[in-house]
Amino acid sequence: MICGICKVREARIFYTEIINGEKNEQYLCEECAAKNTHFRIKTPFADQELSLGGLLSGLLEETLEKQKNEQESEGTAVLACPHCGLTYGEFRQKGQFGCAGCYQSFGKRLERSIKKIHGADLHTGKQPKHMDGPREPVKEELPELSEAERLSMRLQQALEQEDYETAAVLRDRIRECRAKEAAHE
Amino acid sequence: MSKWYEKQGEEEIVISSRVRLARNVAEYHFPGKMKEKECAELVRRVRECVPGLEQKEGLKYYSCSINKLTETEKLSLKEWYIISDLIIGKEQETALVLAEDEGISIMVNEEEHLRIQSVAPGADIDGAYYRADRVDNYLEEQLSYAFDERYGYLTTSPANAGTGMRASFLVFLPALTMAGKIQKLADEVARYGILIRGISEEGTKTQGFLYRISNQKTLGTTEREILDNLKLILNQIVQQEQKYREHLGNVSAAEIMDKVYRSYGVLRHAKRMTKEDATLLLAQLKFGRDMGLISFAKEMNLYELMIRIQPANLQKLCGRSMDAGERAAKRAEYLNRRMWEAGLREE
Repeated sequence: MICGICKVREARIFYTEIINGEKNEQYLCEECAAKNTHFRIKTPFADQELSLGGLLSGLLEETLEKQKNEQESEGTAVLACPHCGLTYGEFRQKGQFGCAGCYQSFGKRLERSIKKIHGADLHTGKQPKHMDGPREPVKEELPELSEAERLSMRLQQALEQEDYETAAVLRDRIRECRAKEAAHE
Repeated sequence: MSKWYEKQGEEEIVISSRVRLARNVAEYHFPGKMKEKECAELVRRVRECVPGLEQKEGLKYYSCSINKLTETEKLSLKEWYIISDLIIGKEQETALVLAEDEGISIMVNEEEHLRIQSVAPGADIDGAYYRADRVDNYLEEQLSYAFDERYGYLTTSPANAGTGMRASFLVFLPALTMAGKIQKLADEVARYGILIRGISEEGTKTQGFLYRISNQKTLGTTEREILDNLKLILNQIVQQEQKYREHLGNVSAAEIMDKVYRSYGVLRHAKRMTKEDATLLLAQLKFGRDMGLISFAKEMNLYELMIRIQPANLQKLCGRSMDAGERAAKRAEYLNRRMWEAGLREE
């Protein structure tokens, strides 16, 4: 059976909708069903091979959706890693980080999810040999951040602490900075 | 020098032990965000480590750019589980560093900067880890790794962070498969953070009764704990397999005997065989031989044969590329000869 909407892919879902007593039945493929109906397959494997990355995004879906909604309602900027430019959205799609700095940039938001995957959030295994003594934090090894990047990190902290007043101030300052930077360029 | 799988006839149940370490170099973005120049630079730096590795390990290492290999070479390495589809498909500069005995292989710029793989024959996960660890220590001295005290070795996917280690056994479970117990077993061991997967297909289905048993979690436990836990589960699975073999031997000996000799007959005489056919027949033959139902004058590594008859390896053996029909004929010819050479012991 071919999907009633795209007429290309095979229909795998028999969708019945009853609105005001009127019944509407359709045979749909997963993609069209997701686009055109309220039906969603809550599995990360719908269209891809089983991969831990996919599994991870599946796990993250719920928490992130919530966070995203909060973010949107607060009207804050889209969060991106200041080191490699990876956005939260990109990470959600693939479940993959772009650089070591992402663990700092998004790490705090992922704590719960990392716990869900590993059942723990503290490494206890092998350490590189040079790590025996006290070590410098990763931040200092990274290139200097711009004013806007520093502010967006503070913004992230404020959001985590649910300090929305500060967040709003920071958001405006980031906008100003970005505008200035753009004017410079 | 012989390869790790040529050192002895393969073990009955546990074919091999493998440890994979995911590592990234601190100064570059992860492969997904790396610039072309950086990819090339990292490849060059890793390849410069080869002489030092040779000295540490006391054997020869080869290194090559994966995009410079022929299609057949790439696929034959994939059939041996040395490189992955992911790295084959990459446009950026990638590389493979391979020990002479193929017991150590390092993929450069796959999902992570480095994926160090160590394989040992039989149930010797400690041996495999020891070697992986030695190579890891050497590389760490040359290239500074991305590491965080809290999240351990930092990886592209947070699901690999921490130890960055996946340890696994390749196991041959014909009796549990025939008894339909694999799914149940998989559900059970999942509670201990262990994954059972068929090696060639998705989920718990497989070809040739071969499965991979691996740790699922990489963060929060030490390498030692991961290995010990895996060994514990492996012992349970091996015991179960032995129990079911005994049971099958009691209940349906005649039926199994028939199946084994039929497999031998086809492998010895058929003129065309697909990869799927041949894999199943070899697996049934291995089962019969391990159960003592059939025996040969010469030792024969049937796991090795299962790989040798895969499309790319077969083409390598014949020295040219062939279409599926021609391969089926060559595969049969090769297996006919190997069976003849092994010399069936008639009871």
